[in-house]
Amino acid sequence: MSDLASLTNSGPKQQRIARPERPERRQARAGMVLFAPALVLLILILIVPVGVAALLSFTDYTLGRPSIDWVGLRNYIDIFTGSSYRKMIVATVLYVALVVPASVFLGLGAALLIRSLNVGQSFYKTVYFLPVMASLLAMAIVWEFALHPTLGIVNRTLAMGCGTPLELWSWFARSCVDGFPLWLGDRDYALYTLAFIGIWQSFGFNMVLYLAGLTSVPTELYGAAAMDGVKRGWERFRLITWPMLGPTTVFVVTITMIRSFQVFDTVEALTHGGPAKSTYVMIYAIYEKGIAQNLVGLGAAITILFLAFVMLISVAQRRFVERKVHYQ
Amino acid sequence: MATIQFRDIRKSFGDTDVLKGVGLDIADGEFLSLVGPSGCGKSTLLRILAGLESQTSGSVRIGGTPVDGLHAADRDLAMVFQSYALYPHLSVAENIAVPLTMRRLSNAQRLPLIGRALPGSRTTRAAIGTTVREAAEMLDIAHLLDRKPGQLSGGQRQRVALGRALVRDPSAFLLDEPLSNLDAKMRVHMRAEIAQLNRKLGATFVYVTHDQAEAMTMSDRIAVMMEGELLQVGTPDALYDHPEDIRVAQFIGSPAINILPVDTDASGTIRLCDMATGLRASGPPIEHLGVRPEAFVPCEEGELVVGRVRMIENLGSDLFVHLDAAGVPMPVTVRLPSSARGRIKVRDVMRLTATPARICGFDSAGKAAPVSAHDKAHDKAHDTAHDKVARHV
Ligand SMILES: Nc1ncnc2c1ncn2[C@@H]1O[C@H](COP(=O)(O)OP(=O)(O)OP(=O)(O)O)[C@@H](O)[C@H]1O
Ligand SMILES: [Mg+2]
Repeated sequence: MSDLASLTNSGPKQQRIARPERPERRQARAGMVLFAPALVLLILILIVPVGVAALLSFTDYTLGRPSIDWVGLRNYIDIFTGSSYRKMIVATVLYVALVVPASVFLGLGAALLIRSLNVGQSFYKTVYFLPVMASLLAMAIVWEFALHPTLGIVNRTLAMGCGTPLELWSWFARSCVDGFPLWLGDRDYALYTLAFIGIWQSFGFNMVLYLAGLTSVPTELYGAAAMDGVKRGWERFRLITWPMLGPTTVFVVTITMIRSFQVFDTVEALTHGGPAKSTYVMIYAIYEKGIAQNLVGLGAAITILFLAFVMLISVAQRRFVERKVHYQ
Repeated sequence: MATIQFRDIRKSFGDTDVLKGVGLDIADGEFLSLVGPSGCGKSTLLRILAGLESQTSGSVRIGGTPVDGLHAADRDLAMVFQSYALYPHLSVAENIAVPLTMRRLSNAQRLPLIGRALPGSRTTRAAIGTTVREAAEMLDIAHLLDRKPGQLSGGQRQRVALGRALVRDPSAFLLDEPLSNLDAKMRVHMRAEIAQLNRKLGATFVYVTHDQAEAMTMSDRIAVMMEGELLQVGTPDALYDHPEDIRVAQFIGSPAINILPVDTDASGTIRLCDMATGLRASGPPIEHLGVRPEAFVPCEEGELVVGRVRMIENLGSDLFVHLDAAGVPMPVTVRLPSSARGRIKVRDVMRLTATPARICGFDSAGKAAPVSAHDKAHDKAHDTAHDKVARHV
């Protein structure tokens, strides 16, 4: 028994000296070396600035003032108690909640429709992708003209509907009498109008992602489904297309969410957060407080809050992916 | 439980003609194998029958009724795809259950969540579960039911694909190389299972394979296809003994048939390497003779082929002797009974003959042509000429 123990104890030890290093080890070390520059850069341009912002968010720092005072959680308390900050959260969340589902499902729908076309696929792809390629700031000016309360093409077109059966719709009838909405100038409509522009702008991008996702669905599966008795398009979608697009959907939803959290250009160009702070979204608030009004500490606090939201989405996405979505 | 008829099926993808007028009648309950080299259009023909591809011209009938334009789901066929085509996001059990849930449950019963609560759904689902389990047990994949296809080996995936086709009771099964990825033991087992299923269900089977041994053992009839055309359709015996085309002769049988290049003179005498063979062409001139390895018998004189032994393969039950024969570019293979073991050595000279009935003749186009024994069988010149060659090799 003790013989056996000594044998097994000494055996591997002697071998270990002679045995060459395992290739996995060597590869792992090479990997570390190659990965180091990226890690350094990541720390320098991402982690450190976020850390600085986090520190600043507990101060009343403003650019140019020599002294900095530690204010603790006051910036955060301001955010959660001040009414304009509450409006900021509401506007941001509402914007995201409107833009994400609409642009994801429109993107999917457009992709499916385009795929089913025999001719004109590239024409429709181009048309739907144009808003993505166009500069949103330039497009914002076009929208501003189109949505002008009296001269804009939108309200003028709507006004042509007065006196037609469209007036059966009570909202329409009322608008014919009281005038059509001011859109960007009306606190009840401004955010929805911005969301509409956001959807218009981003669904083409989602469509392209879905088109790419659709090409990776093996066509043989549709044949198998047909043999298995699947006839209707909806069943085919439920059995194959939708599950197979799972990874694409997770990616599309995440990226659309993060992009719509970051909405800024249309707000800056069209509404400046107004009217009555109804379109006062987060990035615009960061810009206004931190840069325009030089309240760097407050701006930093909103930034940290923003990062927390984005982080939450990423974590939720990872969780969801691991649990539900099928990856091949 | 259906006959299948192909009438002059043609199919082109762009400029390439893949099927060039295929006509084939398959009887009710028949087991028909479709064999042929890679790329000859077997899968395409099967997909046209299934309704997954439409033919350029021609018509398909199932059970006597034309099905052209009928949706694949309405043709009541089950198919095993060459690429398996399993649903990657569904477990093995769910994969096998799909054809049953799609046909046995109503639209409402298939809905997620609510569907399970509807009347009748529970019992139907339970019945489906039992059927799936039975199929899985037959295919020896019951322990894999909870896995996803991505976690299976190629052979296991193939069995799942087979299971998904076999759970139903369709009028015909279309199997596209369903055993190509299984190991030898599993393949033999599945061959027996499928053949037995054919007898039990009485359904028509169309079975695509590369493996001529598979086709020979399982089929009622074999259709040999090459370059989009059917060369011959017949029973395994007919194809083996009386191939109508030299390509059929070469494709069927392992080891392959021996092809001897010959000349036919004006009188019809067939000569191999300028020597009379004792055979004559009773029809068109013969360019090749085909002799199965087991049709050869060693002889002392009056031989058809003479050659030097190059290699001996001992399979225990049989002996395959490969000869370098005069006038034959490929080594000639002879199958001898195991009793010949030890009596033949490498570099021996062997003389072989075969009865005319077991020799196939092929004309210049490669089509079968009749061969008969020469009237004055072995003249003197023939013998001396052969001796010269024997010394030579
Ligand atoms: N969708 C397609 N487009 C163009 N050519 C095709 C298409 N499908 C098949 N072909 C061509 O048709 C020919 C026959 O293909 P098919 O898949 O029927 O061959 P097969 O006999 O099943 O071969 P294998 O034994 O390798 O499976 C091939 O030359 C192939 O390149
Ligand atoms: Mg094939």
